Amino acid sequence: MIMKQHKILLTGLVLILLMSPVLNGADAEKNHFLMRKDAYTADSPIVESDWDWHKIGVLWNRITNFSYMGDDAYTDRTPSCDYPGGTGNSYLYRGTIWLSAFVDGEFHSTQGDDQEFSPLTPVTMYTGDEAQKAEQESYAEYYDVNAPLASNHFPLGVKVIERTYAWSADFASDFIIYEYDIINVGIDTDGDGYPDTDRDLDEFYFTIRFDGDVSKLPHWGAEYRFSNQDDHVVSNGVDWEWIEAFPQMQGRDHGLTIEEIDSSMIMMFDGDNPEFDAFDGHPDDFGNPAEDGTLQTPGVLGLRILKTEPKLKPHSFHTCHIYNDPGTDQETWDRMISDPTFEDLLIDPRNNLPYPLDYRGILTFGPMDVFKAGDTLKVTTALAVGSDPDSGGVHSLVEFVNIMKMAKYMVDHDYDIPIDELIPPAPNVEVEEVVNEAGEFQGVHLLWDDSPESHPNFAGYIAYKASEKTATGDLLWVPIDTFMVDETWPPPLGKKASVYKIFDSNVEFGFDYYYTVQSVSVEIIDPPIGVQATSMRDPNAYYPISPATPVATENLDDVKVVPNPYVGSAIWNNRIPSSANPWEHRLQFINLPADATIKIFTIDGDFVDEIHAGETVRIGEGYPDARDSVAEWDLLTRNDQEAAPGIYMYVVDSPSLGTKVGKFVVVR
Amino acid sequence: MQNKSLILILLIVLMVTVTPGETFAPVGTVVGQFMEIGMGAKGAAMGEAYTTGASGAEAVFWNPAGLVDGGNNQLFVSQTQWPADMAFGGAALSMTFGNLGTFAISSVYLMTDDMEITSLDAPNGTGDFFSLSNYTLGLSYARYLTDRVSVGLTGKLVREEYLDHGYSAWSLDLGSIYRTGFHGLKLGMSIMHFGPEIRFSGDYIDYSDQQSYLPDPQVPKEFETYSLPVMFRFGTSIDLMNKMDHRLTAAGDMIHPNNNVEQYNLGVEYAFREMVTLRSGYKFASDEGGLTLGAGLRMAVMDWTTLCIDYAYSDLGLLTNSHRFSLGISF
Repeated sequence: MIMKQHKILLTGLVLILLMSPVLNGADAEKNHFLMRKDAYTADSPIVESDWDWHKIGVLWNRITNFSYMGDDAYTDRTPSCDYPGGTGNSYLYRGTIWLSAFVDGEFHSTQGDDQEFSPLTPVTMYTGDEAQKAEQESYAEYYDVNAPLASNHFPLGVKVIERTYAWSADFASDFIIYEYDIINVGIDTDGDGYPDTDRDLDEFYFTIRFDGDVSKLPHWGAEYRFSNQDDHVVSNGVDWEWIEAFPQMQGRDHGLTIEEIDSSMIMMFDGDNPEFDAFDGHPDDFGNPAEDGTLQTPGVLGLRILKTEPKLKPHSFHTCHIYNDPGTDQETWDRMISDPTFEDLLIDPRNNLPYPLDYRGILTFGPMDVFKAGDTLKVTTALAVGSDPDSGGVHSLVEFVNIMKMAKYMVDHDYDIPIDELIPPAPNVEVEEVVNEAGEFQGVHLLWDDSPESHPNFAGYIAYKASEKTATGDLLWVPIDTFMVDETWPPPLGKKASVYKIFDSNVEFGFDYYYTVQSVSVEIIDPPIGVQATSMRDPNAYYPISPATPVATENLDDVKVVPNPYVGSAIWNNRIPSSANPWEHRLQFINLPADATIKIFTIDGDFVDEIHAGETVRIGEGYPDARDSVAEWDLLTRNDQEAAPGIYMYVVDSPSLGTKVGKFVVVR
Repeated sequence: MQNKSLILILLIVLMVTVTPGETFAPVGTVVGQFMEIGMGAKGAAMGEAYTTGASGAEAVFWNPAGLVDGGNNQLFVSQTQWPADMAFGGAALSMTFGNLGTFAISSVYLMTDDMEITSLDAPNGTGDFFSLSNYTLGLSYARYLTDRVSVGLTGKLVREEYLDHGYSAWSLDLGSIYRTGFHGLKLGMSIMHFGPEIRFSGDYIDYSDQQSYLPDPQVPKEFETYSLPVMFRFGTSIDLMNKMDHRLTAAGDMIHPNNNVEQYNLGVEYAFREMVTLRSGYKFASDEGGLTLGAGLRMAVMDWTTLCIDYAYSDLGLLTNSHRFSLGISF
């Protein structure tokens, strides 16, 4: 018995000892470093760590002046390849660059994630006229000549100018371009922090070391649960056969060919952690399905080296993970240069499936035989998430590959894309209420003009309607009609020759509706952006409406309170309330003149609240204004207390039409 | 006995003063507010400063302690034309049984035509109508404790209903009047509509709660609970003049309701030979209007009965005005 206890104790101790390097490693990963200016001499060129964000596209990311892509913090995390931006759904832990070369026959490397780059300028953001090539650009410099935060570092003597480019336009909002000017500036021999001695570098390599965490939530505990441990990383090195190794991707037609194979990409996506079931209870948590089955991280995160000047060849692709990150330059050499040059998937022999881990991908281009002192190497890469939220998997991969094609096209054309020449404009949309001869409301006409059709790339229209918002407050667009030139054409014409008109009878007073008509392009091959459509929120095409009777001009007799009695709740408000889109009670006074003021009183004459024609109780972006013939009361008193059930009196006071006293009932 | 009633009065004062005061008017937060409308032309014309002035059968609507002053038997009916095509009325019958005290039965009711139902589908009216019923039925008892102090108590049923949703609740009115004997000075107070919290009957679908509207079948919810309109009334009145044919009485009330800030009312009444009466008053904390005017006639019909006919006009500001008529028969 005693022996048994000892055994357990001993096993425990051994386990703890074995685990300790892992635990330390995990802790080290958590230490977010922040440089302090006072760590350096006053005349050092090194500045404080700095960062800013690209938040204009669909991909949001942090930009730094120390070669970090993303934000590897665990608390108060900011966007780190968040996709879609603003949702907090993060794909990236961090990416960095590694530079390496032989000096006097010995291999040395400078690694961003080991803090071997020191910032030389803050991150500066440019937009508008200040931006040269993109809608939003960043600029930062750093070097490895003096790296006070790194221990035993051998500086190569290079400075990096990092520029990033981001766009909000539909075809370029899924990626961010990183442009690196790597300059051989020489080394510092007198210790003042400035390079003073030229030195050529032999067999110079450029490496991206990329550590995605799909999906990394902003808390360490949640991440453990949310599986940075179950990622996969691949490159497009040999063929697309690896796709068939994943049961979740097998047998689906992806259409990817050998043409997309050029060993320039790192791709990471969420796998299945066998330790955990998905939130929907399914044992397969590939893509992190939530309880309702929707994929939380359906996307493929990745990076592509788009261009190098002078031209470098792809050299190798390797992986490492949280337990075998290289610690020394020698280990780095082994991991980068050793065979096989392009690493295959790691297969778990127990189930013959790809082994999920907390991977990093290491993609190396080079070598440049001699990187001469004073020379510059220019590398342009793109960072992207390709996501098909409905099915994920291979569909997201195809998205990713197409996004990268577009990014390459933009780089090859020096970011000069004639958008207006490529994509037809959105039509001008209007929505009109339809009333029959008896004055009864019938529905609405959705009207749009044919102005986009003169565009050579015009292919058709899709009309959408939204009558609900999601819990995040986004509109739930539903296509109501599609008109393609080569299929269903033309759309029904209205009275005017150049205006189309479709009728929607599924519309009621008091509810909110949103309409838009997209122009759809033909398949655009050059640049390879495929079929493009104009934005749902294009200001010419987006038309919110809250139908109501016309403003009363005759008398106040028709003023009604709807619903009467108000019993508990009414269905015309949003039915998925959330903090982003809260519930409010809505009681409407209708058939008002536009100048009406309504005062509400209790039955014994206490003044309860005052509202005005045209006022809606709903607050938030994207709500149609109530029509001027309508005033809404939120059933809150003038002191924001819930009004009690009972009979209330109201007075409509209109300077143009006079005064009316009425009554209504609330039951709650 | 007189000390006891003083203690009672002090207790009520204490109750009011320890009731946490609101820094704002919690208007529209209680049910049964029809009970707060002033009943009868006399009280209304006096600006509702009538806690001590109400006597006889109509006292049940202000302070049941006043029941004892009405002579033997009284019938009181009142009808008020109220804004938005509503009518408000009441009736009370009091009977005095010697030393036993005075008993009364009473009722308050709000009347209106059926209201047209409007819905999201038919905002201009579905063509269907719903009725509402707002009424009370009360039984009161009052008696003198001493020759100067009277007390009264009403137990009543309060009912409010709209389209098959409603409640019935019991509530209590309690009051006392102290007659000082000095220039007709009277002090009085009452607690009106004191009762339990109520909840409307039936249920509803809560569209803001997926648990309520999404499951099939939908899961209806109960309504919330609310308070009745509890009012503490303090009043005083004094005869400024009372000579031969002329009497001039002034009255002031302070009212502490649970659904508003303190209300202050003042009223005056001039009577000629107690046959012709002119009244006026002002409600100071009223949101709309405040001025009240009225007149009354009192006459003996045959030798066994006296008839009172009164009228009052109340200015209700934006809500226009109201006209009240009331009739009292003493027999």
